[in-house]
Amino acid sequence: MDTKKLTSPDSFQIHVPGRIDGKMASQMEKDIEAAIRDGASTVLVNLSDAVYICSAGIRVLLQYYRQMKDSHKLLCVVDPSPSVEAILDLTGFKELIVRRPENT
Amino acid sequence: MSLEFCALVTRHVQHEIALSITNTVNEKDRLRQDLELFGQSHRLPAPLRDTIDLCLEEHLTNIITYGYLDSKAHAIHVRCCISDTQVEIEIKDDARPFNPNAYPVDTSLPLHEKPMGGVGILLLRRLMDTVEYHRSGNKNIVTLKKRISDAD
Repeated sequence: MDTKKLTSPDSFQIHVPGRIDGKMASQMEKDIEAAIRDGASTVLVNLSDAVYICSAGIRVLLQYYRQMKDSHKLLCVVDPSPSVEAILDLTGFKELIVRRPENT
Repeated sequence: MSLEFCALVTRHVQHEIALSITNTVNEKDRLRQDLELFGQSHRLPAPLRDTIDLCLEEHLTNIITYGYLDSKAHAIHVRCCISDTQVEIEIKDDARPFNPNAYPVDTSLPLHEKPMGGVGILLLRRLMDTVEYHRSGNKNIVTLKKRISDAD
């Protein structure tokens, strides 16, 4: 898992590969918290190389989506793999996905 | 007088593994690894192995997290059977009675109203072809079935 700042200083991308099971979901949560502590107003969770995301991972995304929204900030999923997008769709969480503008 | 009979026997190939763990996260992950190797060794397609792994992660986590009111070690028994056409996984535990088919789940709510719970059960029900439950004595027995298709 790697976290990097994007072109703007308060925009972070967290790349989470592989099977996002309970343990990976905990690590993802730590990375999101670290980004928020570092001043992120936008957190993009890149799931392009994720094979699946379990319910614990979805709960982490939902929790921090809501927390950031309350502060007028944004957490979203970008570039989900087809299998992850299918999981988010059938569980009713496709709204977490934001399609990236072409120049990002 | 001799009795002659002819029997035509059609054999279907089946492969089976039975594993037992105690109700801890580390044991759960060990079982998942063992089943992954079993699936690889029997050439199950990767997307199908991923689906099975996810459903096991969800169901076993629910048992371990919510199934017991004490802090004792409890056994969870998993049997996986691979045939030509499907994978069948039976999970047997002595946790509190819980039928995953009976838990109400609503996916229609907007993000800000969605409850945190129930997503794991929803995944189980939607990713597997069938989820069967019955209670036998003090045991929950859940059987998951998934067809092996060319699309996997």
